Amino acid sequence: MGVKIYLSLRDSASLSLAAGDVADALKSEAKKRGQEIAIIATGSRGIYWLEPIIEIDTPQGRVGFGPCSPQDVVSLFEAGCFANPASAQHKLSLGLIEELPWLKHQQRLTFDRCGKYDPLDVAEYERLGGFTGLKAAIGMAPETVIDQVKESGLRGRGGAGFPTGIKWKTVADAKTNRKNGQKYIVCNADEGDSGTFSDRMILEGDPLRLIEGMVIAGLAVGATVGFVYIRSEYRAARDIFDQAIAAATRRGWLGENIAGSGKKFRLYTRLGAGAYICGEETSLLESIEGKRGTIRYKPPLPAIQGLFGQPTVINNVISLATIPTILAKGAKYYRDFGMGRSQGTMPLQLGGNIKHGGLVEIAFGITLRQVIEDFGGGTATGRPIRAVQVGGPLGAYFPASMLDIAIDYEAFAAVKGMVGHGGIVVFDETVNLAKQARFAMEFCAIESCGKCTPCRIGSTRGVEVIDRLVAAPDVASHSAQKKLLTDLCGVMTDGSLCALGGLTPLPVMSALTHFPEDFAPGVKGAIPMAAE
Amino acid sequence: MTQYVPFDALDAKSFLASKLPPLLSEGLSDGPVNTSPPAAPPQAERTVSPLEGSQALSSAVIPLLHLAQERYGYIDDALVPVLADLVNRSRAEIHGVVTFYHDFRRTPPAQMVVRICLAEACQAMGSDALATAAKQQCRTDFHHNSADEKYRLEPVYCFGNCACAPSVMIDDRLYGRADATKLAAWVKGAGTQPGMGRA
Repeated sequence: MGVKIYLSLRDSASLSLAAGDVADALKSEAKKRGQEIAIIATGSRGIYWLEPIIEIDTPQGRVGFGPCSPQDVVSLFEAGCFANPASAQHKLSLGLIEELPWLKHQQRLTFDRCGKYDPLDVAEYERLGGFTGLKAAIGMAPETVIDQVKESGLRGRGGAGFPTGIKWKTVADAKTNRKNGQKYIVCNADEGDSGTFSDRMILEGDPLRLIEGMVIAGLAVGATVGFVYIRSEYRAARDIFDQAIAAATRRGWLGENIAGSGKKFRLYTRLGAGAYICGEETSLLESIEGKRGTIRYKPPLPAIQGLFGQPTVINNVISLATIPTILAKGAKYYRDFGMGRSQGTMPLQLGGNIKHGGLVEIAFGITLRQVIEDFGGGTATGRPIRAVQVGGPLGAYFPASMLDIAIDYEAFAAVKGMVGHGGIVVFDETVNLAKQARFAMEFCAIESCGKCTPCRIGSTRGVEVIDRLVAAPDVASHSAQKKLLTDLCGVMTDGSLCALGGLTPLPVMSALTHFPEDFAPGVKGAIPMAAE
Repeated sequence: MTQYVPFDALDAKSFLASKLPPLLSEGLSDGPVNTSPPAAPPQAERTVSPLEGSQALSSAVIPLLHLAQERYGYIDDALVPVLADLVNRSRAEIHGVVTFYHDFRRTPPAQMVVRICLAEACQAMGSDALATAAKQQCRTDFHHNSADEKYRLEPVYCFGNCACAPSVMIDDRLYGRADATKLAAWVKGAGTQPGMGRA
């Protein structure tokens, strides 16, 4: 075996940047030169602004070259990057990859292994410390596992921020509705929020971590079957995850006798079918059951009556993938990151019009401005930032003047926003917020499951009202439409059954509040104060 | 471009029936009233109790629809009663599922499916202009096939490629950092040339 070359070939985003073509070019050039190389297919570290990155082992650590195109491959060979990676000079040289400030200043607890190794190599996962958490959990009483999760302060990373340990305790205490009934662990991998990709990165880059977390959840609450519901836009992730399940099963980490403990847990994947609403937990359950993805009334909570009417833990990918760290390193270790009631780290995802986009996992408490400017480096277009949407399509739009808020569940709630699943989408000055508000309503209309009226009808009416508001010829009609839109948003917030209808007003009202000038293009005097 | 099997109700019946057994064993073998012996027979041959069976049958519906669409390219209306019979659900219920989910097409697709992401992160990087270019390039509008049945254009709300926006998918291949010029080259060269994701 020749030089080991690490390349992110499992990650969809890396492949979308032609990483596969770089691999082909490497192979054919190496063959031509008679040089032996071994390409190890890894997930991504999330440094998307420098991808595709070729990484090579040196005694000091991995050195990287990027962003590489297939055309750069010949010059990489010629500069001796593969023969003497530590000393080779090349315009794409990034030096030691883990010394890149962008990566070094992060606090990677959940993404510590992602992008470093072949995620389907179970032995390598074990060598890197994988399954330590599961082994610890096997040696504990189930209640102790739950106590650890409670003490860690972990809150649901899917968006709602509900304490994970309390959810697990509820399921552990709940009775199945029949003797010897089955409890379930369901992983919500229906990552539909625009601006988010951390779930996909785990599914593709460190799937064994999610498997480990789900098995631990199973042991803790007494469930022996798990489902991972993956959105259909992530077919590639599903394929990798299925292979990871098979690999983990072969090595005894899943199945009838986990690690020789006599405990069992089996895991299955289900593919969504393009419905955003199925990211809502009860719609997701309906979908696994083979029905239309309409939401269910709550109560009963899924923890009491979930999948097939049985007690069910539903957690997001990141919540479950964080569990192994908590069990391996202790609740206190995890809890010591973060601020206030937002403990631990949050994998933030920088996207949209951003220069240095990618995954930034860091303790809660950092400000939005630090993330966008220090990590993100400002906009990709180089124009000033005008708006930032945090938390996906149901998250608020903030103006550039409000970026000093700390990333913290409560701090965001205080300014009528939400951290959600950690997606941060940056817009430059060319954005029109009335258009974005209209899109929020339009998206809600497209994706509404139709069960409740405020969401089903309100979203369509919302599009119409915004159109009339923007077209208003005078101050009187403008304020009338504005009042109507505000009323409508109030009804949707208070009257919708789930977060889709209930939170669509968030982007709409934040746009209207912070960017009123975009809603009144033709009306002089409609805006009481000069905005910004 | 993808090759599909022409739809035929008889073919669909045997195809779906052949795909059902492995799905039935998934996740439900510890089901509510199951009293399976310690040494269980191979999963596909397990007998299931009526309640357990109905849940398993029902939860196979979406996986079966995906398999059918992969085979035939779309869900023909004539597949609905076939599937309904197989999983013991009403035609109305299956029709309801098919029409609820955006993924399931009810008419045959064109030779090439071009999906453009229209969600916020891609909007921030000019997906509107890209969509306009795609409509011209493919000579069709969203949700429609071109007159020559060569292209179908579909909107998508997020591929999880938001740090490399805007994104498009041509058949099964995802491309990042797209623009109108690159899109034209990818559409022309799809399946023959490697796609370049960056400038």
